[in-house]
Amino acid sequence: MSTQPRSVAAPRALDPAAFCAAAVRRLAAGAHLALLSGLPGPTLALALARKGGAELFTTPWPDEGLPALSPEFPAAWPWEVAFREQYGREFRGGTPGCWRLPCGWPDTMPLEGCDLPLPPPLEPLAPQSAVEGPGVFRVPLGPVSSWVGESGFLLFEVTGEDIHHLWFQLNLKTRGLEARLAGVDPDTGAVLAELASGTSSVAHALAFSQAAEAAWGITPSTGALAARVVLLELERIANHLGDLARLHQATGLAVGEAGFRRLEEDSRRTAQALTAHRFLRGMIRPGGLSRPLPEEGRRVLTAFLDRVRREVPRLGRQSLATHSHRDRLEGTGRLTIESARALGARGPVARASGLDCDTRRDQPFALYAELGCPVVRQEQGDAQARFQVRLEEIPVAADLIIAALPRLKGPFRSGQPFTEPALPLALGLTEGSRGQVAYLLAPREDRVGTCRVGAASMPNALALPAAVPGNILTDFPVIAASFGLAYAGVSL
Amino acid sequence: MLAWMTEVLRTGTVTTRYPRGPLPPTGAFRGFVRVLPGASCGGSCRRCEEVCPVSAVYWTGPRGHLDHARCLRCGRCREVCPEERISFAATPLGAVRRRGALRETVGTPARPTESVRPHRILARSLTVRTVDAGSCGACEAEIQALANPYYDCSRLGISFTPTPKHADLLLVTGPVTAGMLEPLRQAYLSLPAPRLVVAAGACAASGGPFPPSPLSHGALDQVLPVDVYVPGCPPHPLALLEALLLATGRGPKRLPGVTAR
Repeated sequence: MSTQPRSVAAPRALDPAAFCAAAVRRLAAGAHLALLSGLPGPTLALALARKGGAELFTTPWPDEGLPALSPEFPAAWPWEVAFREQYGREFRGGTPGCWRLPCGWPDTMPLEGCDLPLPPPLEPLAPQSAVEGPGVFRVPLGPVSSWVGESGFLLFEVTGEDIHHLWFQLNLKTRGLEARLAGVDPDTGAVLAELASGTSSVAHALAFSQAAEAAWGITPSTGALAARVVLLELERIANHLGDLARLHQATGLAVGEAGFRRLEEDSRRTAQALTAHRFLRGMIRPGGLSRPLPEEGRRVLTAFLDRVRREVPRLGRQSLATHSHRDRLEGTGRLTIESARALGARGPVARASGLDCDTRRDQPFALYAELGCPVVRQEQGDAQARFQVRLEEIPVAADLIIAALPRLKGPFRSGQPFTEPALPLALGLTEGSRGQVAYLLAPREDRVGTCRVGAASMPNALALPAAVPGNILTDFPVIAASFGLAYAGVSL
Repeated sequence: MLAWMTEVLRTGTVTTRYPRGPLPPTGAFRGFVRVLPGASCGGSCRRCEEVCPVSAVYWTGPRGHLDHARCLRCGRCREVCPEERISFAATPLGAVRRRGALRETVGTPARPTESVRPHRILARSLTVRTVDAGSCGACEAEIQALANPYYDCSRLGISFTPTPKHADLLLVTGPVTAGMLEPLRQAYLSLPAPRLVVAAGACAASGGPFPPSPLSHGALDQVLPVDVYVPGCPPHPLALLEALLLATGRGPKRLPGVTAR
């Protein structure tokens, strides 16, 4: 039996030509680009996820550069741009743009923690116009969100109410997380990974921990893996409930919003009873958990799951029977399966468009290979499909928790030390509530040398402009809520 | 329609009575970090200082210092302390007016917060504009929770507005990233006087895990005058509610979060 979860692969070092050939061949065959990122050198690392596992390739960056993958595989575009922002090297034939650094940034991205003087004020935004003609107006939105939400700048090109094109800049809140992760010990790394995308703390800390465990050759106990399933699925329930509440807010169904907000708050309180933190932080650590799940918290959890299984389907039925709500969702923000596949969408957004993908089943980690994971799918790709995928994933997550709870036995943390790296580079993949989370980790003795992060919202943000044209401006809040992006994961 | 009415009746009232009634039970919440002073410790091993990702606990000679604004409540210090001197107070509250009130020397009683002229003019109705200046998104989730049926901030006259020109108070999260400085400054300048500013969460209150760098200004008070600091990563919705009441002079006379230490 393999000691590592199948979602983790050992790296293969290739020369540049073989690297490109391998990438193109596998992407054309339908592999998902999980991560394409630079490492010191610079070296280029590519993580590809396919059914049953993942592959990791590296190549030294040649002086003449590499051909861009993005003209053929658009999902690679943000990664290519981020590589240029970090290392100042361009892919040949790529489309320029900005992804993690604000447009007009004078330098490459800082890669190590440093105390340099603050940069000069930035140039004004330089939006790219895609539509020209009489009657075309530009409608800016943001960067400060109109209600309570994350900051991001959106620019619509419209005639009247009809949206033709969406240009966005979600890089204004880049905090430099990857630089912060360089050189920390594995436990601190997990604490910082929880901050990559605050509502997906478990998914990020878990992906980081899995990468670290693979890098140092550590195997957590079965009990710890079961507890990770419990935490990850509880986070999924909480986030899905929050996303459903925001969708009701967007359609103006206040009573439905209140119902889901109440359940969301219950889920946060359950999380607190279980881990003393409302966002389940401080539990997941490389090698297992920081402490076992308390008995008392598990009782609160089972009582909460009973309520969720009773109330969520009822609320969902009532929402869909309410015409004012349903009319806003049907046919709104349609993302075709072709767009979803080409742009690399993941999570509920992809599954609502008919893509059959779920890291839990395709690259199983923790105990998912044993527990099994039914994948919820819809075909229409509109806001209602995304609504239903989230609605139906909640009872599935509750079932997974119930199945994992009896296995919370044995030591909660492996005693093996993080001193001797077993691999020069390791990958960790998980399925968070928004989709796949990928961490690439290069260890240096007993510390994190370099860490690269791929959050689910990155490909989903790339897919957002594909779902918007053809809708009207007043539909956008519904589309945005149904996508449920976390901008923090896009910019990091 | 009838189904929704049944739903409403079935749910009943779930709203907390804070600030009038007692706090709802919070169970095992990780609030302020507490270090038991003692003769045998005296900062001899300093393992808590070594593992803290944000330098929230540090020692100068035998004196231990805590910076509650920086603390992420991750529990790393508690895990490594060989004498198990470190615990967390369970209170979710803790908003203060002065940054200094969140600094503590182990073994000395916490200083009471000074009373500052309350903005009585806003005491009955407060309109809030939130600005995300680089948060991870968890603070936004907790601010959104203020509007849920459990906390229902509208019962206290608190509402959120989409335009800073209608706002009395700026509720800011995140360590103020380079890209968000200008939007934040513009939002602040659009606010009518008196411009109240609340730094919510460890990032805004102190920079937290993101100290000054080319990408981050590392704390809100580096760029704007701050009226109220809310520690926590993220702050509990009750702490955010406490901060909003405190900013308008409606806060409880004695702050449970501070007196508890």
